Amino acid sequence: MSRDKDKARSRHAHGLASLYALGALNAGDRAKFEAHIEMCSSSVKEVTALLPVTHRLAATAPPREAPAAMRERVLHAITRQSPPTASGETDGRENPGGPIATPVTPPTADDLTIRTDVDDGAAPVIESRERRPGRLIPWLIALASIGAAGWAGWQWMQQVTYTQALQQNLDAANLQAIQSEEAAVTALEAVDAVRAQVAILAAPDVETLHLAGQPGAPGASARWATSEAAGTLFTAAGLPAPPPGRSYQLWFVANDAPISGGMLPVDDAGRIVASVAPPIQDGSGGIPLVALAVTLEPEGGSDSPTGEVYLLGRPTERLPGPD
Amino acid sequence: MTPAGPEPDNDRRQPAENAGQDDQALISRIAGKDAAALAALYDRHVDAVYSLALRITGEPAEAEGVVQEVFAQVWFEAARYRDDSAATLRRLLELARELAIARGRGRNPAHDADDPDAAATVRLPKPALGLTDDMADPDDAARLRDALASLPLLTRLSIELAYFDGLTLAQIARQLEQPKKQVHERIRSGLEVLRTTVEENAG
Repeated sequence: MSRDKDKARSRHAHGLASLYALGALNAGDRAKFEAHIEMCSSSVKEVTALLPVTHRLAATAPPREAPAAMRERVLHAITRQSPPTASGETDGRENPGGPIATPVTPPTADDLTIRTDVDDGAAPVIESRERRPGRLIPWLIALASIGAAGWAGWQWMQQVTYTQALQQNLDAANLQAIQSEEAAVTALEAVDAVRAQVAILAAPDVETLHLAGQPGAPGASARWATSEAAGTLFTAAGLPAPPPGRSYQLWFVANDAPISGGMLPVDDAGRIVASVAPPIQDGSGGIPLVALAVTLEPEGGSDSPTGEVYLLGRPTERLPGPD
Repeated sequence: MTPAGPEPDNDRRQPAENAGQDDQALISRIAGKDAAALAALYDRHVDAVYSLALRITGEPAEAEGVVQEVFAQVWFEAARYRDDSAATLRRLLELARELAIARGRGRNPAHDADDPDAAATVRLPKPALGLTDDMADPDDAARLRDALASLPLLTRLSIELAYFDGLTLAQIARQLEQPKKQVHERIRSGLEVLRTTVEENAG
């Protein structure tokens, strides 16, 4: 192995060390890095230096107190179960990569290996007493893979541009915070608000409805996102500034009887970012939503839509709101 | 719950002096199916585990599921744990992270089944030497939180998407609509800053 080759590999690996320590490498790059690390002590050093950081990122989660009621539920559910098999033994396998096995020797490549065989002992065992330890995670991953395909895929593609737009708002808000001490509190609140908005779009249970620009604003588009966990968000872009004395109003159209979703303030760039609650649902499953529309109305709003429709969206197979 | 051990719940929420050794003693008792020891370990660490699970899943019910899986794992596997007085909390959190991300993957469209850029596993590399449970020091945690929050926004998001969402470099770049190279550099420089904070905490 020539020195130059070693050097080139080192340079490459040096970049990958941070991603490796953070678990952000895909399978191919990880395998490459792990092959490399055996020959490159400086990479080992670098990863070793970063692991105390990446493992401590757990502590940056906002501190919350676990609900008191959870304690009995959890402990009872666990201790009333029988061990999955004869305690502590599965087909006589040793468990070198077991959950609390930490080598005390100086770092070697082995110590730093992320185990790809999830069957190696660190899997949870609660759902079925027949299921042997170590069998659950592969199933979880397999099931998850199936679940992630399909309509959600394209939806994500659509969503990233909105995330990007929100991101810019967030950047602007951060800048504002830096520029003015006095405005800092307000700006930080704005940061929080936009973070919440990003959270809605990225929420696992988000359902969205796309609104297309109508002849009055063919280039406009909008999206209504609802997540039971994170809230609701209405975003629009490409809208013309409303003429004086007029403003945009949102309508939930249900069986031709539109319900106002409120007025929508539009910014100088023609964007709307608003939290819009779905129409009040009755107990019997809610209002069948026919369409979502944005019209131009007199300032202060109308009881029913009177002005030109600028944005229109119809739910396809999935309706926002309760199932 | 029948307290079977000599010291039931009187150490609830006790801060972590000699936490590592205490944890190890509890693990040994849990290996002997001492329910009171499991309760004591739960009381000591559940807030940290729950906070992390909630941050990742975003839903209290999901977070509770993760907490249950984590402590169930300890209950059934404790006998196979090696002596490692320093690492109990870290292991609990690591397990919680993996389980919480695995749950989220079923529903998060960012995790495309056919994505060649997806992580094969979200497990972090194991530290060669156990991190001590000064991980549990709330002041250190707050300082690290502050350090993370003061990073440039996209840097912080890049690190958070990797750690809390289990995304790979390519997935983060797509989600933030940034070139991979820049995301990579942000992660590198961001972790470097955080490392300084962690080392100052330790020193």
